[in-house]
Amino acid sequence: MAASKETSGSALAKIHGTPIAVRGASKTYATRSGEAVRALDPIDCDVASGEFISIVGPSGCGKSTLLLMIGGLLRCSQGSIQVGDALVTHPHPNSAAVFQRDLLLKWRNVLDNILLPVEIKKWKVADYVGRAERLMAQVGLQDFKSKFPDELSGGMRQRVAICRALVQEPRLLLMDEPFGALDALTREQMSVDLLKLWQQVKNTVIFVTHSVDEAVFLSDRVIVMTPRPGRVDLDLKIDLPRPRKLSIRSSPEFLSYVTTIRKAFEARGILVEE
Amino acid sequence: MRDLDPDLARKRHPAFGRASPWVFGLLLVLIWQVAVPLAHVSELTLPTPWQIVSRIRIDYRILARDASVTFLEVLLGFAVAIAVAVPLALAIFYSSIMERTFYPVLIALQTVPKVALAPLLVLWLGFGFAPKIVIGSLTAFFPIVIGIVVGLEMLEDEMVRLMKSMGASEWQTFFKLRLPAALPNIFGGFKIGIGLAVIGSIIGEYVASESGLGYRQLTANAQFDSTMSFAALVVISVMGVVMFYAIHALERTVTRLR
Repeated sequence: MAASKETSGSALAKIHGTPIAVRGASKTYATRSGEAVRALDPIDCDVASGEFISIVGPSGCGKSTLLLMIGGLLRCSQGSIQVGDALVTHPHPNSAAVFQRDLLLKWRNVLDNILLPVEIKKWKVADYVGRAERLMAQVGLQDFKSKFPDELSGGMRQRVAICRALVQEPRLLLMDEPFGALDALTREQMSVDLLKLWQQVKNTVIFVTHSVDEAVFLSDRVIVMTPRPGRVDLDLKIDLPRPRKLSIRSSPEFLSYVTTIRKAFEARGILVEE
Repeated sequence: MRDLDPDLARKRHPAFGRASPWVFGLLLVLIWQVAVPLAHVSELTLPTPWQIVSRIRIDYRILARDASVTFLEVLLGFAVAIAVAVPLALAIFYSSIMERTFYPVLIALQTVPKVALAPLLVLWLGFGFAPKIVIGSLTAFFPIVIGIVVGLEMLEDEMVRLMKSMGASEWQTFFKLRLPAALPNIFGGFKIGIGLAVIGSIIGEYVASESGLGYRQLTANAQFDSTMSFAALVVISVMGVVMFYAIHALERTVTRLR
């Protein structure tokens, strides 16, 4: 049992990941006037168990839509998505999500916010307090467990949201621009912290972002999407050694990956000078 | 929200914050006490605070009995208002058909001055408790419904999506998220409602009754007993304030429990 070790600095238990198979999944929205708008062209892609995948693309390309569909929070218009052995029809019990906004309940303190999913799933709260405390210690929240969300900075709040997701020991972690609302420095720190956590749990992560550097730094694979309606433009394996340090971002390999992705954007008319 | 907390001012200037409303109130009473004899106003027109207080001390038995009658009317009127408002608000929130059906009618009815229904209600329901409770609940009802509906509707969809991602049922979403998030608005509606319930009950007593503070005031007026009229008015005000703060205290308790 993960909760047996109470020492706050100790490592987190490994979580088994889950493979994902996306088969021709697309999304069409109906606008208010009844017009059909294609948000996402049919997507095919496979994610291996324990893989860290980032999806990058311009605003409105449907990357968040794809993430929500994988999470069972949005229906596919066509096609299907399989997480593990199960066809996705509603939120997978073994997945957890972190969104751009931390979405903390302001009347709950940090610890109770982290334990919210445990209550929802009707697990025994006492069994998860130890894990919650270890997670908090890992991201520097150990002295804040009785604080309320409005007493925390944006970065701290998003750390709580990440702990709230990981306390569920999810085989699949879905992150929808989780650092999008943070300042540049906090953002870098958060990606370092996230890698530190992931290095221990090694579950499957799908990470949606606008930031090419962030995607390359974090991921095993980066999927680059075209502008709306989104399609997979480039599926790039990132062969950088782990564990990764911030300094890796000035290595020639790192820069060449970033350049490849930027070139893909430029070819689609994004990031063009003039 | 925390910034709007009245306790914040008290935290900044603890002693003055606690005393300032009392000091201001006493100052007003003092001016009243001094100005009335100086201006040679008779007790019949405007009694002094001291005369009113003395009268309350002399006739406290009558006033207490009247107050208990009015208190019960207000409490029952408020309770009926909540009993009707809660299911209606939930129906409006959860069902778009209900929202389209009830909401416009409700808003139209709100423009009808409920106190103007008092004579009719007396005609239908007699002189007893019933018409006062109905008028009290009618006047209190609207802000309570609005408080609940607006409170529930203010919640962002993203919060609900988060709960869904955890596999929460609607039942869990309601009690862990929707209700606690709506509490400030719900209690805001309650606080307005209780004040209106007092007004409604008093109006009901004005129209036809044999006891209660409104009745006491009316009879005192008929006898040119301004001091008694004021005494009843003071008791009504005190009752309103006490009920308001009772709800405020309830809000703080419930908010701490969520």
